[in-house]
Amino acid sequence: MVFDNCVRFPHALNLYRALPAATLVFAAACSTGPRDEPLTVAAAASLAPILNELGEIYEEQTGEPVVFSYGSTGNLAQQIRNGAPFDVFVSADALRVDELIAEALLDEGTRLAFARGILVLVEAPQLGLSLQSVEDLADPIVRDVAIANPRHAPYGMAAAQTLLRTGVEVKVLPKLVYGESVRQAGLMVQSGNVDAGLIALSIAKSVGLDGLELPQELYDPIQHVAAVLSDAPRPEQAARFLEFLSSPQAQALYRRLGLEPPGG
Amino acid sequence: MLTPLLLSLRVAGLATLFAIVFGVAIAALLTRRHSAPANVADAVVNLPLVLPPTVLGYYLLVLLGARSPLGAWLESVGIELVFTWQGAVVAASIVALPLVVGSTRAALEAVDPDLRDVARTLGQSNTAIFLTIMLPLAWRGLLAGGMLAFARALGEFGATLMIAGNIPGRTQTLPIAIYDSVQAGDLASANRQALLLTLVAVALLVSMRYLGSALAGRKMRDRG
Repeated sequence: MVFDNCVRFPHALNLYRALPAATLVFAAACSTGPRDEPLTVAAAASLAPILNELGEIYEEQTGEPVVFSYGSTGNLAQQIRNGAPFDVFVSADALRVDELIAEALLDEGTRLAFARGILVLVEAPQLGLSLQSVEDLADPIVRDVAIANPRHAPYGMAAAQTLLRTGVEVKVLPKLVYGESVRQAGLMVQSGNVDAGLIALSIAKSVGLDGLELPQELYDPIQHVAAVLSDAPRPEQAARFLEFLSSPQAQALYRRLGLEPPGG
Repeated sequence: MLTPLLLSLRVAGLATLFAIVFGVAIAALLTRRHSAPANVADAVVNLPLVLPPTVLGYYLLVLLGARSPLGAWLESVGIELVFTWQGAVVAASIVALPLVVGSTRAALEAVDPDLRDVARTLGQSNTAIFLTIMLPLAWRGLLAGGMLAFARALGEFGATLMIAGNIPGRTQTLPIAIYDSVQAGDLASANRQALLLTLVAVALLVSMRYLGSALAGRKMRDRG
């Protein structure tokens, strides 16, 4: 009777026979190198509001689609080291780009400083704290302060420098809440989950927060730098995209959305 | 919204296939073995249940990345796993593997050992015994393992993000698309995507239940 069972379950055996065939099909699918994919740009998350808009204009003008993979600058640099198939790296700091150039992972000839970031102080809109300066963050009425993780996000680094140079780090350090990127830090404040934050002006504008601009001497310049990867799958399209990043049209957009020109 | 879903289904489907192929083989090798090497092998297979997915993803990145000898060799033969959807399949297969091994092994060990011994006295080879007696009798365990594997693979996030990244249209599975939408503050998209994934998961679980009880019903009738 039990042997009857064996005979009556042929589907299990068919499945077993089908598996090697399916595996072969999959292996074949893996080996075909997909090279007809669109231009892929690894970009700092702080630039998402700007690049999304810029990408649409670029697609309209050139007819070439562009895909953005957003993350914090440090995380993206690490992905490039591990062989991520990006064409362009748009970094929120010069340091990461120069490191990757030194490692021959980015093409030095394509290095382009296209804008400069601005750090602002923001507060959760519903609280009515009316913060006037970084020193106010030390006040006990501010329970927590969101910044991007300084270990891998340039705006987080700038926020940490600002706290140090203002001399409030001892009082503010226990209140710090770290966002994976400056984009996340901005959302923590906008949603009211965190009282205040030090974030990018571009992010503050995109989430509808009023940002208080901080004195430039409080943090090192946040240079936004782009470059083409040394082994970019689509180098010509990548070069065209970089050219577009420095066009007058793009510069006008930067100003409107919260970035300064690279030099001044 | 459809692209991440289709990618998720493709990744989870292939990962389930791999987990079943390797999982059944591993379960067959480990069944009724309690030697020290077998116990260590069992522990290694079950590691993905214990380790956080980010740790697994990190191991995979170190093992398969462009800077590792294995990664360089794979690239030289034209197989790119890091930051491709195939890499996501590798990650999902590994997290799903212990689920298949666990339930298949339990089902294989529940088969009456006398049947195997009888077949052996009748001159059947071990392979034939496994394919025609053990596996057909343990198919329910295999099916349950496969379902769990698919469910786990569909929800895989941490290891996938580490090894495949977040490239829209290429490696952005539905869970990663949800993460990206939340990060971007695009809560309308996040809500839609989360609802879609929930609906797909509920539909899958319900249909699996129907499939399971339909098969069980047939078995009852067969016996009667």
